[in-house]
Amino acid sequence: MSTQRSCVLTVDDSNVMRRIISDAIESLGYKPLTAANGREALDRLEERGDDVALILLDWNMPVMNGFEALKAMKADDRFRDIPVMMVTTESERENIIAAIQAGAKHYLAKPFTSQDLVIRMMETLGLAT
Amino acid sequence: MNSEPINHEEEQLLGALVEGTMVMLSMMFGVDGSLSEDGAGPEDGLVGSSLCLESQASKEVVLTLDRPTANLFVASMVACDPDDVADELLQDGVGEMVNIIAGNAKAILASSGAQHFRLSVPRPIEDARGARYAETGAALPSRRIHTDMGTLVIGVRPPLGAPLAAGVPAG
Repeated sequence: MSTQRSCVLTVDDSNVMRRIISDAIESLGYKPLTAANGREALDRLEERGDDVALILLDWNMPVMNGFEALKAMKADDRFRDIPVMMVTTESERENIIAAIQAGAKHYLAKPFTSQDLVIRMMETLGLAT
Repeated sequence: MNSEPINHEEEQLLGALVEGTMVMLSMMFGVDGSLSEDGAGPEDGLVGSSLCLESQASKEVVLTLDRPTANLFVASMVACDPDDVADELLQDGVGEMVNIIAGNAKAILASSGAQHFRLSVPRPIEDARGARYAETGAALPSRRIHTDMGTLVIGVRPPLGAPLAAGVPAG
């Protein structure tokens, strides 16, 4: 799937974090899509879901948090197979386990270096050798 | 200068916040921080953000720094010139900094079995003096961290009823 799709969706209520992650997405040759909360993320998927290769998802956000958005994505046949990586300050063991059990493929705790982010994205997209 | 009395839990929280700040400084900005305990200081020209650590004994975590320092940090985050950081982006960046610091502190405290918190979303501070001083005039519990990019002050105060993020999970 991921090699045929051109976009990566970043979901974070921080504009600064969306910009940081979008730069990393572009460095890998993908087009960044953004959303400021889980509800907007689901709206983006309705619009462009068939072109999304990866979703990077924050946890603590207003309106709809990332965990609820993750469950909604995995419950929808149209989006279930899009890999999701949680990118969040919620780094406690039980939260990581909950996210993986809910269908997240990877988990990256903030703070992270740009290198860490790119490497983890490549792993999730199946680009790492 | 008089300081608000600090209990064991606040001391523990401040220690975790300092550690979380040092991790953030190192990983995101590649700088080291040095610590002094005199957290209070001039409140003119401050930029800041706070969020609530919600638990049975909730606390508000407050990050303040002067504007030039905030410009440097946020410009570094988004790879732009410090003079090009607009007010909205500046506040957003400082909010993300306190989010990361508090998130790290939360994990540190949980791993030590000390305290468990839920995080609110960050919000700008509206009262610079209230971010560093109690109504009594005493300095709120805080720590001053010096870096090559400037000084940050991280502190705690009673919560101001900050809203939690939507449907925050337990733990």
